[in-house]
Amino acid sequence: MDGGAMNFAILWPEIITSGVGVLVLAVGLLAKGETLQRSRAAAWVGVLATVAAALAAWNLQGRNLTAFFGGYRLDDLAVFFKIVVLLAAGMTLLFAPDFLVRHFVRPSDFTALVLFGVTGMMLLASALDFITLYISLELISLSFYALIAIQKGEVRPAEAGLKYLLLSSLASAVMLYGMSLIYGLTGSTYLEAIPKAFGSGQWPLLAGVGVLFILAGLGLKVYLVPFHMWAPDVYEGAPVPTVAFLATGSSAATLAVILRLFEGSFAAAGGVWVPVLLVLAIVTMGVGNLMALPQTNIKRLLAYSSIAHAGYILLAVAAGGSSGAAAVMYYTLLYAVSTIAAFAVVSVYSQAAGSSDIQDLAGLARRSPFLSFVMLAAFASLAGVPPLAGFMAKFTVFAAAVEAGLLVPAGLGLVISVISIYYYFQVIRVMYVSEPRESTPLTFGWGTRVALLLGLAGILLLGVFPGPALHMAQTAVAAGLF
Amino acid sequence: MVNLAWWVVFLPLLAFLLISLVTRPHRKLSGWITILAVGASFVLSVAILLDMLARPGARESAWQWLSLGPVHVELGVLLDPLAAIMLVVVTLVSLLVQIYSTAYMGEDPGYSRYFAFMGLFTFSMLGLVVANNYLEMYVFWELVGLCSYLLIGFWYEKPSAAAAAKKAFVVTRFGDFGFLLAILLLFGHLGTFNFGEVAQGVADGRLPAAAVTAAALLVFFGAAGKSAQFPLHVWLPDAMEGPTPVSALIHAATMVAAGVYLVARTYGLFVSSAASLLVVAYIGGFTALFAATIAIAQSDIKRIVAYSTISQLGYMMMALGAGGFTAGVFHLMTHAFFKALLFLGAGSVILMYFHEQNIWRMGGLYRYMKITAITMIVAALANAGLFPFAGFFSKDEILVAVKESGHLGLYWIGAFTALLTAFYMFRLVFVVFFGPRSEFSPSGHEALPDIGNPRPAQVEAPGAGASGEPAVSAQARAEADKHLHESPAVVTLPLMILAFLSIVAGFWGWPGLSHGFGSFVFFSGAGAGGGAAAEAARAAHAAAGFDWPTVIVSNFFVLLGLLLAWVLYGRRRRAADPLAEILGPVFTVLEHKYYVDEFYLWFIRHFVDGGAAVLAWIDANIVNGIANGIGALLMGIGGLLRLFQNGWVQRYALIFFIAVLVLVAVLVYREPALTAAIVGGAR
Amino acid sequence: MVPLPYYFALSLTLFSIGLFGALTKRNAITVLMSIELMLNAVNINLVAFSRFITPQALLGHLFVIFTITVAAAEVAVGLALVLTLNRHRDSVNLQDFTWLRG
Repeated sequence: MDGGAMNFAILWPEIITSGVGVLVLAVGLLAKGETLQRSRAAAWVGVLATVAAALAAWNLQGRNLTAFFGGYRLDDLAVFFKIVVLLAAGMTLLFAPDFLVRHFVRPSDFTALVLFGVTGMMLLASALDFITLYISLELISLSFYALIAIQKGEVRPAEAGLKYLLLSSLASAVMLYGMSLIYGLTGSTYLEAIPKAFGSGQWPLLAGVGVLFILAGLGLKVYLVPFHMWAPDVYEGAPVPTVAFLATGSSAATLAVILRLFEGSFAAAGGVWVPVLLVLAIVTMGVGNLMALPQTNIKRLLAYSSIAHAGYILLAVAAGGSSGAAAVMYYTLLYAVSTIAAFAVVSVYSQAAGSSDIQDLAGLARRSPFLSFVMLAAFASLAGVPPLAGFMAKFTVFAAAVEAGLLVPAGLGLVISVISIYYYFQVIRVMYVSEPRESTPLTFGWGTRVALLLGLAGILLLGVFPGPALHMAQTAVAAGLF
Repeated sequence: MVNLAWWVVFLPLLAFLLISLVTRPHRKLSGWITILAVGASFVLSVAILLDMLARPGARESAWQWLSLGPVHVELGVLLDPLAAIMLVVVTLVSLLVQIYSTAYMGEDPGYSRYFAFMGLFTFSMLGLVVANNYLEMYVFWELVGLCSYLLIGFWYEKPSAAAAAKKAFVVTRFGDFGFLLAILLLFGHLGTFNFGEVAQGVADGRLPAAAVTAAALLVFFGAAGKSAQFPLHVWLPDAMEGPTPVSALIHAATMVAAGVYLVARTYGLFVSSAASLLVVAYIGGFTALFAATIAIAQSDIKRIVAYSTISQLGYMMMALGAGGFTAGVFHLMTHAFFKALLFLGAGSVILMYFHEQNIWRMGGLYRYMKITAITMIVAALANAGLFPFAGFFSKDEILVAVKESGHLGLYWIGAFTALLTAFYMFRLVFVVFFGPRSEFSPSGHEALPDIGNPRPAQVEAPGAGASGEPAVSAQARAEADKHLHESPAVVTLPLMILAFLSIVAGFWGWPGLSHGFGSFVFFSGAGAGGGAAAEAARAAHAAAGFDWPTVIVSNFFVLLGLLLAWVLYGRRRRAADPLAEILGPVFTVLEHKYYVDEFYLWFIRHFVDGGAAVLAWIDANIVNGIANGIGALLMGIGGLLRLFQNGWVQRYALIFFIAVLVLVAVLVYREPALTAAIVGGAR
Repeated sequence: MVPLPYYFALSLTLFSIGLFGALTKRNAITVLMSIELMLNAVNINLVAFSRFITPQALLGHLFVIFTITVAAAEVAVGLALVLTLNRHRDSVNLQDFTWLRG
């Protein structure tokens, strides 16, 4: 773990996104007479940047390097999560302009913020010490404060933004306090310091409190109940493209850190943390699925759905081992693809309806068969219907749990996941069976179309051919996380 | 070459995707896409077959589809002579049927949908053929079942079509369940799905004998569902509700043969269990005879051919059960040609003849459609098995195989069935194409009631047809005759190609031929060690010439059947079935297909429905109550939890900190364990 | 020199005061300030640990520079949001901002 060199070559993905982000921001601010429509080009530039960064990340596979004085780790795990968050950012930028222009937000501002956010996520996936972790987490959060409240002069987004800011910075403060405790106990700011903090044996309680504080801070980002309470309000208030990116990218990157903690730092102490995490995972699934039942707003419903899925993912984290970790990675990928596809549909119909009530989805099948088909695929995938990606993902999670001997939690999880079928299919029923309130066909631009097709292809291909992605996840885990 | 097989399989899928996603509004284009894709698949399949002929042997290429812990599932291609033959048969018949369909379905509003489904079906069937493991085969097995369902119910606005589709789906699913159980049983014992590995494991005796028999019988149960073997045969005649080209492709040449193919593919299981072979042989033989007797008393042109299909499939199963691997597969191939031809010929008649299907409303059609008539006669002769038509060679081989296995009872059943086959085939030919036009012939537009098989007594009564229907006047018939004509070239061309194949395909199986079918497709024994014995048996078989007693017996029976048909129907004056009088009540039983459907209905009504009623009551009053209660409870919990989510951000923060404190408390409570575990773990 | 436990105690006190304020004050700006207090408690911790535990590496000092910068950015965005909400509602009371709930 000396790897002290300032090896910038491994930073290409981050350099590309942050560089293009600054560029887009500068051009957007300086260009004279930039109209909303012309500013759409910025989003395409952003998409290209994410593609380029993803290619750069793909090229970095199989490196296993530690650089920047041990604070930055480039391994296949990091590459996998970088590609996932870039995918989330790219798909979001594809469908966002339609929504933004309708709401008088310049796509260039949005693009720049998404690119900064995705830079933070990529850094987070590679973070190996507290300082890198904290800075990248805050880079993500700051981008999102602005992204959530980007609709100028509108009150709900501002409320959502303030709520996210207060809770998130509170959680940061708690997490930082935990970090300072670990630092005080070990004199080190590396993640690997955590076992040492326990190892010193002098202040086990203090070390435990420190770790718990860090977990609470991270738990907020991945919707761990009871640190999840910001999510439904923020989902409902924020603009749809922001939510799509928030729901997928932010939690994916944080999961990379959580995997490193649980597979690396806590591995020795699994006996203590696993029961705690298991209980939280089950509670998370339960609360997410139960509270989704009475929802009438599709964005809130998706928020609780995100929470429920976080529960499944955390079950796989608790299961641990190579199959658990691989399941976490595969699940994150599929969840990102399915969720963004669903949000892309929500984005189109909520612009037309002026609201995001589930009732306004009525008759979507007749107004736009393509949109409703994508929504059907996305929701069926999230509900875990074979042969879609969601089924395979749930299967890997529960298989990993069974393999780890967690029979009771796996059984409980399965029972709880049955609830989800009800609310997902409630939405599908409204789309296909209910009479439409208006019958004008829904229109959307090319970017949205590409995003929808990408989502659909991902849902089908990841389900039918899970091999390559699963294999990538498995090799990444096999290569080690430190 | 193995990589070509992927293309063979995926081109039709590509056609399906292209049509359903892009070209659906463009009818003509959609049809051509499927024809082009299947045509390309056919060319590639021929290339594969030629390569296989030059260098026989099994080639496998697999791709790890999924790997979860100890479970490895492959997506693979297994090419051997058996698969190569099947690829060519499936793609050729499919191609001809698609060309034919451009005319047959020309007026249909669902033209694009039809070709999309046909593409999907061809893909599924080809995938089934090249599958290299049980699970992959099962997936495609279900897919062809789904396509069959979609295509039988293609005219879903017709209630009978929708019902037939459902029946086919349910009955075959019943069989599929057996197949799935077999797969699980084998996987449980051997830990693999791969055909070769399973066969090797069985040959090495890693499976208890009882398990082998159970697996083989379960596989056969699945095969019996698809291949319409007694008692799961009831769905196939009803499946004739689908468009006729669909019947030709799916329910004559390819999908129904999938059951036979499955038994051939997993033959290693069967040869390891004498009991299962016996079951296969006797079910097959019984089905052959049983369906043939029904066929002689049917009045619907498509149903006659459908029962003939069931009967011929029975022959194939009988051959496999008697150890005649080569004979069964050979008959599978020749049958595909002449049975597809029979259906397409029947379709040609139906298409031209005002969509009438009752043979007693036809008669003398030879004059109007010579090509259709001649090709149908060729097909009938091939189906009957007269020398030198294709059916003769394959049926003869089956009889020889049965004879060699020592099941003399089955041998005579087979021979007698040949007589029946010739009889019912020429009953159809004589009644449809020769003799005078029927008194009940349709005059054009309005749909006519089903008259079944008119009894001579009914027709003899002056001025009244069967079921009191007045005979159509000669004048009206003459008027309608003006509209009769031969079908267009896209219909007759496939007929002629298939007729040609029905004549020549058999010669490949000429006994003693040095590069004959028997030296190409044969069962090479399960695993190592089986090869040498199989090689010797094959060499002995290839050296042998005709088995003259069998040749004489079978041809004699065929000619006898033909003669009987001519005596009864060739010279008839009226549209009435003299056999009905001769056989009396027996004929009525045959006409009603031994009342099997009625029995199933009765059984379902009295036992299954009774049980279902009890279950339904429990479901409605107890389960539903509980389910609704649980639903309400869950909804209520969700609603209660919502109260915490009151929108006040500091409430959220408070809950956040309470949670942290609770976790710290848990930590303190568990601290001794914590310290021990962590300190111990870290050092 | 003042021993380490004193710094630690100060930090813990400061953190608790901040936490109390964040949970109980209704004024959004006061809550923001309380969170700043919590972050400053962390800073004291880090600097003190840096001085006592890793006097050569100055790791804690480095960390503190980052936290101060980020905290400043956070407050800036937070104030902007509070201003927007204030314009709509003519209030900075957090209990008034509950359109989003359930």
